Amino acid sequence: MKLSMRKAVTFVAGLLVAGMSLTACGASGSGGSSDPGVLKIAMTASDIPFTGTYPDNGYEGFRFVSNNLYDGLTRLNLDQDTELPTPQPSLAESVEPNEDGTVWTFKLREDVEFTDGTPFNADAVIFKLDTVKGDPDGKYFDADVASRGSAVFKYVKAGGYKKVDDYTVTVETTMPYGLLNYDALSWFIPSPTAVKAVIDGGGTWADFAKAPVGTGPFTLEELVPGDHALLVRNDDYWHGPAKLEEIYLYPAPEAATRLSMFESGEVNWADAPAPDAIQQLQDSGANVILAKYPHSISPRFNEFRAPFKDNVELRQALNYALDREATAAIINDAGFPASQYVYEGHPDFVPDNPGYGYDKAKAEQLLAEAGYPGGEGLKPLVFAYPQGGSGNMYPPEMMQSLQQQFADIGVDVELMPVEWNTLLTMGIEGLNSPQWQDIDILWASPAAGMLPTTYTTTVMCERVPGTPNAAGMCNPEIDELWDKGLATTDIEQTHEYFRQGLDIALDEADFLYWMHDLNLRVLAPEVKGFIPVLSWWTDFTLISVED
Amino acid sequence: MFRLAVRRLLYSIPILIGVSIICFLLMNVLPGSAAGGLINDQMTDAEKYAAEERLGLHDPLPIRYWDWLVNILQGDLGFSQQRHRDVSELLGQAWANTFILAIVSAVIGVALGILLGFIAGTRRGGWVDKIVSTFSLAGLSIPSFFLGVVLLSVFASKLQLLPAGGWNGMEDGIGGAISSLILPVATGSLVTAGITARVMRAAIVDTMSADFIETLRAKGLSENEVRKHVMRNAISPVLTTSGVQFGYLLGGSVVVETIFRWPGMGTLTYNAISSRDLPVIQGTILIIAFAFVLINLAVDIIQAAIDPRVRGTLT
Repeated sequence: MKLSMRKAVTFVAGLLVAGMSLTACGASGSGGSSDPGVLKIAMTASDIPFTGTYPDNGYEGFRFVSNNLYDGLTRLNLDQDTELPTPQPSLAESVEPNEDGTVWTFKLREDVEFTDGTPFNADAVIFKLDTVKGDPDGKYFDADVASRGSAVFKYVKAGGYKKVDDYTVTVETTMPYGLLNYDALSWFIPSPTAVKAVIDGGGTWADFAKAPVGTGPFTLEELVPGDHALLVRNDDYWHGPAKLEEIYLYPAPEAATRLSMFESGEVNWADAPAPDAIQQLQDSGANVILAKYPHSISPRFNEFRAPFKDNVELRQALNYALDREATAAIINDAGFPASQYVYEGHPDFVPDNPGYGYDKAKAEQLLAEAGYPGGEGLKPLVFAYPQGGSGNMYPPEMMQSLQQQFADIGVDVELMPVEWNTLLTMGIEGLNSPQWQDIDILWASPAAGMLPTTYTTTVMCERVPGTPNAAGMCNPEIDELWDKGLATTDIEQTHEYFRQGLDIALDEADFLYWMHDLNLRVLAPEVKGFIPVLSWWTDFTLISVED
Repeated sequence: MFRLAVRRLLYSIPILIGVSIICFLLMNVLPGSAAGGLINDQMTDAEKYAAEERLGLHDPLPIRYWDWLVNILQGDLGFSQQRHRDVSELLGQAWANTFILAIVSAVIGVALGILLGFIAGTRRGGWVDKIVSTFSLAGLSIPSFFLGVVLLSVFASKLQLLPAGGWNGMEDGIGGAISSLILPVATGSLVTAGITARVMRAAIVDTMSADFIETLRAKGLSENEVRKHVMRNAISPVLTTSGVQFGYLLGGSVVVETIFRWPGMGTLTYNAISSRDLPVIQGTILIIAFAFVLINLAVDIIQAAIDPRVRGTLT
């Protein structure tokens, strides 16, 4: 038997040695972050965002896929980090509303071609609008984008867009609306020739997405679902070719995996690695980026019913009970305390309202004024939150911190962890729907003020006519201000109205103003040209990977 | 044997139908909207209704289930609105990836478990037995998540010997494929090795104490020949547990696949459940159930081939 054992041990050892020696060549083959011109990104998404004309996976989809494969009629100025990016000319070289914002004129560039050689012109824009606002039974109607992307086409009047000449299009809106240039950021225009070829050949829009054709700075070269996508530079890009030759996108929803991928050199860009690795990454010479941008964690109180309905003191008490500095410390300062919905310096920040800081004595006093001295008489608050998901920072750690801080003033919290998608459903169906009416506080992680169009439904009494605010927040004063802000074509005026509205919401403590994200990401030293923009999006044409 | 296989396959049909009904009902009573990411908070009720209508969510449950079943029989597993792809295409890719991981993990885990279990069982009470028992207990006890992260940290981050996940098939050559397999296989096979070693050890100990072993020795058989008989008699329970383990592995380990970015069934199922992607959930569960049925059938046949006593019980 001794001989047999020896044989067995030798066999196992042989396997390990063979494996490790084979891995040496394998590992070097799959690494290679130092390849000049090649950016390899570990994303937090669990799959490659959809490559059709409207992405999924939230703003991650826009950032990595849509904005690289397609162009909108406008684009954000992502080449600076001093101010909130605003819409600039893109496929449209000028965008002009009429006086009351009911008709917008888009003058199109005349030097643009899709990557299949099809010229870009007014017909292409009309074709695009027809696919989402035209006849739902039409051959090229894209029901998927028409529903998922309905927010950015909401104010386009069906049948109200027309070709004036080959390079001019007018779009009529459903009401006086001053922000259509923001919506046009996401009107991703596909090549009509390519779409027709696919659909006329018996295919679908989903088939088009497998080999998408746009005008963007990159084209889709390869897509292996769940594993990676490869984008290659469009050398003929109308705005000038990108510095990068290739972008690899890797879905890696697990933070530890993203960290390992970065440390092993498999990627040279990792989004949101675990915050406790910040020091370790900095020590290794990596470029750790922490910079503010429009993203906050601002949970919503259920104002459909007691205890939060018409009880501003209670909402304020909980805002004062939050020790935001302590929570920030738990997540290694990957976020910073929020005193308002948007960060200081944002155009909608209310300069003369201090908002909320940690003040336990004041919290206890307000709690008593609210009718719940020491928390007496207040049932445990059901707080629904996600376990993770794109843009949610670090919910479990943050929620444990919050639970303790509320307990310190006598308020018990019943944690209700849910899937990210379920939480989104709660926000869509509303806290007045029978299945969600037991929830007292709902986690929310908005792109707070990234675009002036993003928080309309959060603060107004009705999201669309007849559908109440998801959390029951309703203040006619705010509605009036918001209506004015949406209608004016003067963006400074818009921000002024929004500031006034957010000021009221702040006094009324309609949100649990908690934390601003610092968008932790890590880049290899050879990645150059990254600009920490005040946006969720990035202009990848400005980035390079050098030797 | 052929008739046995056919009969077992026919028995599996009601099982699969039962599984699919339970799965279908469960997904319809869970909280959240089955329209998932297809609706948003700026849609009117009419727009939401239209989106749900496209998914056929307004039909009564039995009709939806029946439609799905009829399509399955026609080879159509449906279309994933969330993933924008045919379910069969998604399942085909994920299944192939998981199969590779599962087969390698199962072979290594079972082989290692049998070897260790045999060694421990034939040296009962000795230090080798204690070491193997400790190993097998550790294999069962160490959470895959923890082990996976540790392996990543050591072999990918620090030593940079192995990739930190991903699976690109043979595109990076045999070396690339093997290197991609090592860490997930090491993580995934540890549980299988631990369970197999424990079962094998118990079976060996049990068989070694049987009367016929003394008879064999009395007849003058060498220890090696005796061990062959022991092995043949002890292998049956190991086969059963190995079959179950292989079934689990074929179902795709969510933890292992997530940590190592393995685009397999576990990842697909987890993402589908998270996004309420009903056609994909139904497809994955059906495939996993079918795999279990086939594996159990294969185990029965192998057991019957090895052990004549079993043949009579398989009718």
